[in-house]
Amino acid sequence: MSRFFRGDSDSESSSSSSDSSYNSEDEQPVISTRRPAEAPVANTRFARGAYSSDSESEEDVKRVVRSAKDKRFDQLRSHINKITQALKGNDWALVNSEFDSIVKLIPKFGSTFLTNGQPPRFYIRGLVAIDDAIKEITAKKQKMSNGLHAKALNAMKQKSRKINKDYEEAISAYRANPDKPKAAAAAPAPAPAKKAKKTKPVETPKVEPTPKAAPKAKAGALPSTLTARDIPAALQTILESRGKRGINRHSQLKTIQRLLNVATEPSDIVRILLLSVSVRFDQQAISGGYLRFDVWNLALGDLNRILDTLEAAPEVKVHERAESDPMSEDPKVRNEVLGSIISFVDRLDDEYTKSLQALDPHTTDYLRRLRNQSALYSLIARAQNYFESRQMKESTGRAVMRRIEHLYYKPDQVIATLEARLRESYPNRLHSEIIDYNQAAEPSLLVHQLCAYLYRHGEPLLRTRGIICHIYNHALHDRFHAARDMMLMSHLQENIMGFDIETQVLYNRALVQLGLCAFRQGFVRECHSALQDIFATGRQKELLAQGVHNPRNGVLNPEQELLERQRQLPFHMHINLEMLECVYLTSCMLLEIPAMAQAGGTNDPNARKHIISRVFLRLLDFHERQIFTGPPENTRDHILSASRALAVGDWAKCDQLIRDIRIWDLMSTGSDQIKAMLTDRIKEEGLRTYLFTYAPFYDTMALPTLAAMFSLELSSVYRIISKLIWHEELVASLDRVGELIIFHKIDPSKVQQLSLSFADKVVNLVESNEKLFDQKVTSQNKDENDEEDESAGGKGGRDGKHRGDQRGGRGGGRGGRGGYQRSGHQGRQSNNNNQDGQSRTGYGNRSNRGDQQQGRRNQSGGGNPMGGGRSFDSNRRGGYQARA
Amino acid sequence: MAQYDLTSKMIPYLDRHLVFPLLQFLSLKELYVESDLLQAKYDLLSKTNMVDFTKELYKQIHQVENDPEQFLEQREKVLDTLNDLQDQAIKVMEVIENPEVIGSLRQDKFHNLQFLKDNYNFTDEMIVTLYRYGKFQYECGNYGGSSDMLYHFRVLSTDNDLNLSALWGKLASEILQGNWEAAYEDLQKLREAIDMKAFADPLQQLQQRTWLIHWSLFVFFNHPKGRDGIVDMFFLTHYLNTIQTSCPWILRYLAAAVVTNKRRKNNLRELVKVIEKEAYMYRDPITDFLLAIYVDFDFEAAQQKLQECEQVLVNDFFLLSTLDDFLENARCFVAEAYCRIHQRINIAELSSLVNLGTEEGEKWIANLIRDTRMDAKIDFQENTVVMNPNLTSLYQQVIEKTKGISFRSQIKFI
Repeated sequence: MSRFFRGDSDSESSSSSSDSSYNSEDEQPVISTRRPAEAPVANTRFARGAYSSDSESEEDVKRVVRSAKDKRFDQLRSHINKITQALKGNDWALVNSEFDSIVKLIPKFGSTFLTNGQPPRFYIRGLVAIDDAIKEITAKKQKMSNGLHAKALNAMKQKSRKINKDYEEAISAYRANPDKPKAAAAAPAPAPAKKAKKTKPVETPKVEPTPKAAPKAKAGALPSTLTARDIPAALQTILESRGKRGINRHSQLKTIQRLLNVATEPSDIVRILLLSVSVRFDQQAISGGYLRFDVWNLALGDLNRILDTLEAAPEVKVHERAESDPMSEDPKVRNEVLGSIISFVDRLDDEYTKSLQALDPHTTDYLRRLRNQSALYSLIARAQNYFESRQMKESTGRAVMRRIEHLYYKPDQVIATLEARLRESYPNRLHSEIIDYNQAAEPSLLVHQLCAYLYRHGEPLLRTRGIICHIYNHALHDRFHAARDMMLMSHLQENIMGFDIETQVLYNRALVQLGLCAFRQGFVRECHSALQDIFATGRQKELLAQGVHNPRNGVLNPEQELLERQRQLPFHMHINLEMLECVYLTSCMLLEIPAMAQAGGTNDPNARKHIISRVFLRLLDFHERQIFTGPPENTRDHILSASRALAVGDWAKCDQLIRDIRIWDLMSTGSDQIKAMLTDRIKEEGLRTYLFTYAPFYDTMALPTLAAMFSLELSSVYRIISKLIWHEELVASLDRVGELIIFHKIDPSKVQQLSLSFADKVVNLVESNEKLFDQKVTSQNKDENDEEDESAGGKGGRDGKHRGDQRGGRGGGRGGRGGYQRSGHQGRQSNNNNQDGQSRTGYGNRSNRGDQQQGRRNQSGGGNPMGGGRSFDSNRRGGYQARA
Repeated sequence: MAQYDLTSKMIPYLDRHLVFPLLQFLSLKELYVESDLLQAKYDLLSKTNMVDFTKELYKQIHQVENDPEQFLEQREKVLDTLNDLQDQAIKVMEVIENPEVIGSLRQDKFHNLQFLKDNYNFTDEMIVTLYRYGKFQYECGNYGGSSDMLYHFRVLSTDNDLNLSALWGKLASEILQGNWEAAYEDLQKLREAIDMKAFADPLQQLQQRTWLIHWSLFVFFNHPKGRDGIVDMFFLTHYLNTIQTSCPWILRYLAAAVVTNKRRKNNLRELVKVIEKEAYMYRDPITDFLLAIYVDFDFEAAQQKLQECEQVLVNDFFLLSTLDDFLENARCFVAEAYCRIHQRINIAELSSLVNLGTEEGEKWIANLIRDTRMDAKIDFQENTVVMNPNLTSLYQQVIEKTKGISFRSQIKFI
């Protein structure tokens, strides 16, 4: 009982005395030299005094059974003893090494190290001793004879300075009253109490025994009846304790609440709330991966309140370069508050994302969490509004970006709902230059306005992210041409490799969405070229940040894995990968099967010049080699079986198989429309395939028969065949009178055939020869004018241009890659590059088209790939190099 | 037909004075309500200094007889300024037109300037006066005077920005005078200037190019060499991009130019590609016609579009003069494409495709066969044309393939 009291009161007295001694810090530097001698004796007694009742075992040295904690304390003590000895002998090397072991030891204590928020007194004493010794030496400018010692001394100086900062309070308390423990030990229980009574009135009239859990250091600083005057000091103490171990945040928050109750000035309220938010964020460490929901909600509430206050009090300014002085008499200075609201908003948003990453998306928790989004969104919109009204450009940009990131992947209805919530919660308070709130809440317009702001005012990175989001949004809502034009005009595909991985992921998402959009609209070729690169790598999941990549050999090292996990998108933002694959393979089928038939029915990649999709060919090959193929089960099987049907001209079966795929139901435009589009395409491609495959065996075919076979209109059969003839894909002509198609056979003799293939080979030889030559010239050039090349940004010197011309010419000779002639996207120049990167996207080079909204219509030829000589090494342009 | 009228789209890219002929043309065609057009003309001119003209329009609109006050006042002011400027400019002109001075002027502008400054107390301010006077004359509708002044200004001035403006002004003056030869030259100069100038903002360059494209239409469709010029200029990458980016409707003129120009047929393929690409942004009967032939191979649709084309061309200020050429060439296009695909053609069918009667059609086809030296015969009994397929022989193919090889290798290793 008495012990209990003693402990309690004792600690209190010590804390109160610490207050009284705030100013007497440098009074007794002399004592320290004396003190170490007594240290061993005083230790146990001191411990008794300093520790509150729960460390009873401390006294019972004789006991055999000791807790790990006690053992550690003993260890610590012995280290400190050694240090004090060494100090006397000026053996700094020893001091240094001992000190290091102490530093190592301390973390092992965990929270037990601090008692009542204070480290053990003997530890402090040690620190003080070291500190004093250092000061003494530096004061005397004593030279160390031994180099080793000198070095150690210097090391110690730094370490001690660092560690002293952490325990500043305790040290100053100790310095103020180094003898106290002795007194406490000498006098029986009442004595400290008396002493405490004596000291108390000096500072605080009446201190209620604050809850035990509260850190004593703070309790001392806080009078029970708080007034507005105390706020700065109280905040300061809380601020200082941030980041320290063993701080009870709960009680801090209580204190903050109390402060809040008395605060009247808006600047004070803002200050308190800002601190409150950061204290709340500090709690994260306890709950692991992410901030707990309730805490998150409270933080959200605090931020909202901050904004409330700020909106009501326009004179208060919160910014990062504020010359803040809460005590100042000048209200102007007082109203400058140090802090950054946008970084809190950012943090809150990040925590939200983190929590979604960590949660299992199939639980109700996840759903509940998603519901918070509208509140978060409202906060962001509000913050943006606030920043805008205060002309905080940078913060506005960031807030706008956050807002876009919450919107871009959502369908219009969802955006409309979010906006409606926002209007409900803040009626009449949203006045924005960026967004015209008076207009009807047209979601696409909203996204446009937000992005347009970024184009005009944002930093380059934000601008890029903005435009990618905009593209995504366009594509999601089937505005294919708008999305495509933005994609091309922004030159993203050329410089996306220079951005950070998150942005690259965003780019990949936009690209994929563009592909899906093209497919929905029936632009099969465009769809294919958009999706090509993502699928060529076979790592769709990783490229879209929807799953962690498993490397074939070995495992990821933990850091990489962690990084990748942090990058993952929350589930509700995912793009359906199965649907993506289905779309990709279907588009491959529609393009590849006729191409195969045209090349003579072979799917041996080596025999053909232009492969459209190797991935698809590999799958098809595998499928064909199976001895027994059962009925198709999954999506992929369906498409592959359909491909085989299409290859022999059986369009009806192909169509049926494709229609059986269930996943079309998930398409946003509705499955019927998609299926109808696919049927049309299948008929057409079926006809083409049929003609290619069977033309050698016929002299004529009747057009009406063909039309009946593929259940097409006669006129469209005419059209399809005309096109083939016009492009010289089919050597034939039409007989309008007899409604026939007449094939013109060319039966080359053996010699002719051989001479043809010989000519081909010679051409190939020359080409490869030229390529080699080019390489050689390039490498030589590089050696010579490396710098010039780089600074010219691949503009290339005379040689580069020359080479570019050569290549362009050759590309033309070859007839270009599959996409070159027909695909609408590839400008002329893309040919130069096609030679190098086999699987570059078709989204290559409709270069130098500026963009209206962006205000960077770069049509001056800037994007013109002048440097035909620059070699693009990327085989996977759409992808990011995750572990480059 | 008003839906295919491009005037409203083009006006933002034209000068006020250049718009006026367009509006005049429209009022002839009676596509729009007369009073609207009058109002438009009035609005157009009220910002210029052509006071008398504006006054007449005002009277016409408001059906009044007397001269309204405001115009008298304005007229006074304009005349004052004009006289002022004229006085100043005359001083300069006197010097410049002095034969002695002309004799000693050389190519080098800086030298000339120095010379004038040294000997005749010239100042930069005086030269700018020429510019101001020229501009004012232009605004008053005195295009001859303005083009003169601006010419002199350009000879003397070293200020690049003003020079560019002066060039624009001169081009406009020449166009409005119908001085096509000079305008054609100025156009080339202007194009060079725009391409060479380093614009701080690419947007500005785009704007300048867009204007140039629009203004050039006046020249290209009036100058005898214009049809070559338009194809050459618009197919340059920069200009093609400009068209795609900011004014896709120009494709109509480009298409018309390509169709009417037999020598520039090579560009057809590229043109069709561009038209196809931009079809979502712009289409009219002319571009649709090309798409129908070369993308869809739908000859019936092409025939329909051809009929519509006629209407559009008649109502287009620039293309009216090309109408006959266009129709004739368009027919050839259709027939050529048709013949290439088919082996046996019904004459009646082909005739109807090119909007001709059977008799007429037969004659036309016979001419076509003669002109283009097609390998075809008319079978009168069955009323058909039979094409002989001309296949490239294998030997030909081998030769084609290997043609360039040795040449290429030689170039490489020199």
